[in-house]
Amino acid sequence: MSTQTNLLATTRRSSTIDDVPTIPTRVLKGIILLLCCTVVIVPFIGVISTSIASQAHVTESGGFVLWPDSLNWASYRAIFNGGVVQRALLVSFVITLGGTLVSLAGSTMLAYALSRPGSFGQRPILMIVLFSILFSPGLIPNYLVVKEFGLLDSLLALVLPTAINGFNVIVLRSFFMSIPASVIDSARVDGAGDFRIFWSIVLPLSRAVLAVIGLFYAVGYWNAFFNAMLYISDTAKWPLQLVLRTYVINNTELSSGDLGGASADQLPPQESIQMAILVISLVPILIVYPFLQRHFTKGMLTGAVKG
Amino acid sequence: MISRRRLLGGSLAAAAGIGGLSGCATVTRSTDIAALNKPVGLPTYRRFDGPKPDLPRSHPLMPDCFYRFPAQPVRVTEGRPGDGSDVSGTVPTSNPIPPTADRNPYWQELNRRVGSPLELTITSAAGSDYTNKFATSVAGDTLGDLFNVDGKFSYLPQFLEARAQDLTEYLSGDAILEYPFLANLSTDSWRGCVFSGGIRAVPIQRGVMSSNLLLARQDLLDQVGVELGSPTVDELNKVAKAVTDGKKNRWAFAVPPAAALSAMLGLPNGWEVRDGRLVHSRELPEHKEMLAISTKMQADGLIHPDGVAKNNQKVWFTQGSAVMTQDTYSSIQSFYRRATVKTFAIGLPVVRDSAGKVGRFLLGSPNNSIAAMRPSSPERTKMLLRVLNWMAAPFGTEEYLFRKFGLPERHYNLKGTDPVLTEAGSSEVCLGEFPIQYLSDGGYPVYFPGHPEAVDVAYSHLRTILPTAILQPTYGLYSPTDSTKGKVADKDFDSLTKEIQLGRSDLSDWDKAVANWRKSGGDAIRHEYEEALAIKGNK
Repeated sequence: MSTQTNLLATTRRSSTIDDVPTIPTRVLKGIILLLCCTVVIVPFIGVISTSIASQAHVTESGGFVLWPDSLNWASYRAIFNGGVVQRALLVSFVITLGGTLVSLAGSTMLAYALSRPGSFGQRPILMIVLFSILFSPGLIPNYLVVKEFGLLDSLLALVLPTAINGFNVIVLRSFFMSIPASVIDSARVDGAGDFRIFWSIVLPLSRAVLAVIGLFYAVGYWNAFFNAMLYISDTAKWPLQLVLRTYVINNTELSSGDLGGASADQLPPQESIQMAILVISLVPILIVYPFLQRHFTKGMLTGAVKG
Repeated sequence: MISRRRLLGGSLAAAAGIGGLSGCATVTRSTDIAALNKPVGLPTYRRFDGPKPDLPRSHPLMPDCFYRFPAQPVRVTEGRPGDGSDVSGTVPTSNPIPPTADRNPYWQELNRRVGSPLELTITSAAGSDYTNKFATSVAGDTLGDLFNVDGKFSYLPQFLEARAQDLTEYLSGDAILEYPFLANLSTDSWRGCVFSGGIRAVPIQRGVMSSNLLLARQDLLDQVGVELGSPTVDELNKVAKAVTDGKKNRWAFAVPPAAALSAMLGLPNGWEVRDGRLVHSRELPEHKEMLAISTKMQADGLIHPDGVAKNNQKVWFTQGSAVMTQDTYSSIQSFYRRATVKTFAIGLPVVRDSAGKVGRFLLGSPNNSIAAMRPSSPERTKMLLRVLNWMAAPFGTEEYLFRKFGLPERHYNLKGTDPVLTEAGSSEVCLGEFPIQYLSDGGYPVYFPGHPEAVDVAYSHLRTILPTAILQPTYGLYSPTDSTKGKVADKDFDSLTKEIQLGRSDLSDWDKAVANWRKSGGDAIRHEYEEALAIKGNK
């Protein structure tokens, strides 16, 4: 009897995940979350503020403005004046859109084939995919392959070498394997071929994982700069991230010619231009994220727990 | 298509790095110090009789000083150096990469004047971009006919033996006189091009212009009403405290003033022969004293809060967040170009030691880098040397004017006799530094267009410090251990210096680090350099 009482008491004392936290706990959590958010958001505000601050304010603040005293859009006007940044933005959009489509097409087809028992060469191909996750060929062999395929100075060099990502293929394969075989079998009974099943049955059922993997690929293409540095000599084909790296991280000075011919006397401060480039590089991804967020949890978890 | 053997070869090259060349039977063994440092007859120096400098040369190392660009630049070459065939190359740039030849009228005119289309692969010099590109280009054999080699990578002599033309027969002694603008480059700069008993590159000469020194914002000092003069350590500290004002976002130094402190304390320039033996600066008590002083400066808040950890000194100095910084003579022009106030003025204080004498000035390397040539036939080698000679035409000539400023009206307009780049010029001529300057270039003059007062400041400083100035005694010598372990050691000491200055490590840790360095390669480097110095003779 006394043992039962003790057990009951222990159960009452221990909190569960469904318990409503006490007010001090909620306040403490709130403060910690607020601090974390501040640490993340303040640099963003600084970047945006510096991009729209006046020359005098940038100078006074030592190069980094936390809150602008006035709005000055000169940096954005200079960037969108037809210079190197505007061109690079266009290149980045082309690579990101084109690359994501190529990657999604290739990865889904490969993953679907690998998820169907009895596909030709299934195990060796799966091993090759796994091998590519574990071992990277390295800088120089990659360069040699790109060079020998005649892809140097071509935008294809920024897409094809990274078109298929082993990890993403495995996630997609896991998702496809979770689709009941009976659904596919019934489609086959109705006379659908492999491509029909893939296009009309499998892909519509896989929107969540396609959104997640598509975002992975898109973010990867959008942020990539290293391959462009190695393979692209023509600055007209540089993506935005390489421009960003050159002018922001390496602190190279933008000339008026790079900014579409803005008068040298009217050039905004270099720091403002650098921060404006940074803002421009962030915006597309920030816009895309909320639209895909609802697919995120479902897509990731389904792919992650199936073997 | 790529062959399996080629891909495997590339992978092995990646795994072994360029160091793999040391195992090759056709190049000098890395243990053969004598062969690696074998002397060779250096090119004869013959000063080109070009435009007369505006200020007298008071010292052999004094660069030519010009207030203004000569009014009527003379054409000093005849015909075109090229033979019509394509000339390819790999070069870095510190400026925005210029538009490609098909979209760049300057480049098109350059090709016409050279007489051979230049196909250049241009990569940013910042960070490790050029190093990565260079490594892939070596493996892919896409370096081209001419390529810039940025100094200090492992097994450099062996690499040049394997991949670069030996230019000795074309340039040694009086043979160079066939290329008068290359002969106009200083003998010191050619010493940096000798490897394994051969002249294997041409120098990208900077002379004293690449030496680090203390730069001060004279306009800000005047504004605050502080006289910097010619300070000792104590006086520099006093001035630093007077100009620092955190509330106004103003600090005395953008970065720790190592060059000034080294001169004030009489430190060696890297290695120094003392009592018949080489001693490195970092082994001396003066070096620890320098560390202690800069640590105190940091603790007293005299250095920009990010000055030790992050290097953005050009921006801070230009904006006035820092009153003093450390940079080179050649940086002066870029500071004036970045200036955001019309009163912007740079002062160059001559620092003094505790006895009041001019501090011993430590000269930078005579060369920015070197440029090598792919092995080719004697005819093609001579043609490429003619092209490099054309690119080295000195300041004040018509060739120089075109090379640095492009075409009148499109790329520059004259302000008096000084060319001022237009918007198209800034972009197409790469801010006056089109990257062919990393294949060959003339001597670097003291010339700051539109700022003759800055020329006076630099000249006055140079005239005072050059008699005390010293070059690294190991310059032009090769130590295999230094080439493989030196960079890592330099990085480690640099990190430790920062840790000490930020108060995260104790000054006593320096001694332990020096002891470790000596055991792990420092003594071997010393021994190799001593051996090289012994056979240096007339290298």
